[in-house]
Amino acid sequence: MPLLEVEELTKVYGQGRGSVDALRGVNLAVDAGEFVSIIGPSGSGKSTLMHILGCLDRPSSGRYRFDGQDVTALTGDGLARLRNRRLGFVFQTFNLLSRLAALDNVVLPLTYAGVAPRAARQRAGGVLEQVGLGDRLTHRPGELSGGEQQRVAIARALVNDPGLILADEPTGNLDTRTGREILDLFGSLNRQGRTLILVTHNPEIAAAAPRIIEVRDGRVSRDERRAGL
Amino acid sequence: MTLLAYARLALDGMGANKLRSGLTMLGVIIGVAAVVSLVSIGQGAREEATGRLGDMSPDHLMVTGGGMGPAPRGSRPPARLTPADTAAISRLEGVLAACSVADSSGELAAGDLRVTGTVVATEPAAEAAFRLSLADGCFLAAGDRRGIVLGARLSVSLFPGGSAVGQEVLLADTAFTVRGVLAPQPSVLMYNFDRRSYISLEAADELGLRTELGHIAVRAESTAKVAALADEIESLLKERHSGAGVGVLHQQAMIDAIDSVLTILTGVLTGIASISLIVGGIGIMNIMLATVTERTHEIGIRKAVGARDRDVLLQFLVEAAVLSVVGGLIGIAVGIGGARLAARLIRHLPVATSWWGIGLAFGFSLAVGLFFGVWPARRAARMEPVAALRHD
Ligand SMILES: Nc1ncnc2c1ncn2[C@@H]1O[C@H](COP(=O)(O)OP(=O)(O)O)[C@@H](O)[C@H]1O
Ligand SMILES: [Mg+2]
Repeated sequence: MPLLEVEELTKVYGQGRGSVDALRGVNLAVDAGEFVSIIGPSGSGKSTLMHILGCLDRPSSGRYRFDGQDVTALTGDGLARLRNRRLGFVFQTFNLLSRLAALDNVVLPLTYAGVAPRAARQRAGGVLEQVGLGDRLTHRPGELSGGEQQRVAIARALVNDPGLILADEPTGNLDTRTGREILDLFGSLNRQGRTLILVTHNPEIAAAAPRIIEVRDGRVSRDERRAGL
Repeated sequence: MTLLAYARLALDGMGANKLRSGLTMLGVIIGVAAVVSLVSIGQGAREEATGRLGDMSPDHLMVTGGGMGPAPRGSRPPARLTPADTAAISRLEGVLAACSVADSSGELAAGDLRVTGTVVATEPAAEAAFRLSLADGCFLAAGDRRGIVLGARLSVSLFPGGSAVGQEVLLADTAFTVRGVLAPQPSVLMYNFDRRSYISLEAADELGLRTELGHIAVRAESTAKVAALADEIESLLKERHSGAGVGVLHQQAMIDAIDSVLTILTGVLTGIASISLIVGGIGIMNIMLATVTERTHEIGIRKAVGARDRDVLLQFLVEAAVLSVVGGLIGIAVGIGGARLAARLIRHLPVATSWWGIGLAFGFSLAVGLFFGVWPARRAARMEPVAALRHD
């Protein structure tokens, strides 16, 4: 059984004449442990798809099963729980809370998971160490470079030990070298057994993953696995 | 998450915009301070009034022909009390003494010293009825038309040199002989008994000082009998004056009356002050709505990492509550301080700390914060994660 599976997923923004069909029937399955790149031109619906997969948004129609569970049937609290425990989302713009230190940003998901403050800080510190930021715990996002901020965001996505990490253009705001480092970090996370879905419009970056899915006009237009990577 | 964690979040949120939080709190501070200081002053006035009345003998009754004290029901004309009424009251069971009292103002002269004071025309029973104690000489005897008894201060003013007893004083160009001098008495409310002089009803009639009886002073044998005696006197006089208006006052009735007046007064003032608390609450709502809009992106991030609607609701609700509670605590301190300051600046302004008033103000400010915080907090809680994340 795949970790996640979507069938005939559609998403329509707005109503009537001005409405936009962002997804027009996406079918997709990802197994646990896979590293998948989603590629496609700007406006093709990549972010829309990621938001739905990350339970940040609901589809207009279609089915989404995550770990055997029908996500479309979940309540708001059920989705929040899924986002908190089972999914980690990495954004292009990092989306850290600027008033909180790196450590407190990583603690955030643990707080909502009900982990006691002391244990949460310990665990968050450990994950930051893991992404190479052991000496930046008390820095606020404004005091960190872009690459470091994205590492904090990755640590935050990892801290609840989720089954799936979703990253939407995670290197989009970084220079090539820093982007490469982040990509290497994803690569090593995948080797540790994490399931990853990475969105990019850049074929070079997409090539880091053994499986590339291309989206065009709200549909999957190509889905290929390459061996030997 | 624990409530403490939400409170820490709230303090953090407030700390991010200290000036605005402070200004928002100002509304609550003023409202709570107004309530606390007004209640303190009202409570002080009540304690003062009942405390002073406490000095008055609890076994004392004051009978009037209406006009004073409890208003006669309907529009019955007041009864004209006479010394015969006094005599009738004296004969009632449980009455220790009763005397007629007619007050007027008069100037007393001794040599070239002149003093104005209250001249009380009364009967010998006044000594017992008012529980007068003499420092020197004796009280008026029955039918004494040229005798006068002086209050302690009057005696000192008119005869600074020595004993007044046996000396002559002039009242309305008529010579009176001082029969006795009273021991100093504590003043009750605005009455200073030491500035009073006592003459007989007959003497007052002759001088033309007395038009009618002011009231009849009665002393009961025991405090326990006062209330029953009051009813008895009332029905006795109604009978004697065929239903005309009669008022019987005693300490407890006066305390009750003053108390109820002060309660109403304090209530009205507190109500007005509470309006400023509500205005403060609207300030909180205003600022919370601004905060929620401003922090939409933050809400999106929190939801993206797993905050439930309830977590976001509580975060902002607790923030509103903390704003109002901190404002309330400062307001209580300012209110107590303000009341104390007023008590120093305005002489005789009684002030007492009223714990229920403080509790009320605190509870009310918390309720205002929660009430006016709910709507902004719900707006925050109901945001969709993606929509909130797009906002910046
Ligand atoms: N909130 C929205 N409201 C209306 N249209 C939207 C919204 N978000 C995205 N779209 C539209 O949906 C389409 C897909 O957008 P998106 O998923 O962001 O594409 P991508 O991430 O591949 O660039 C685009 O045409 C975009 O304009
Ligand atoms: Mg996009």
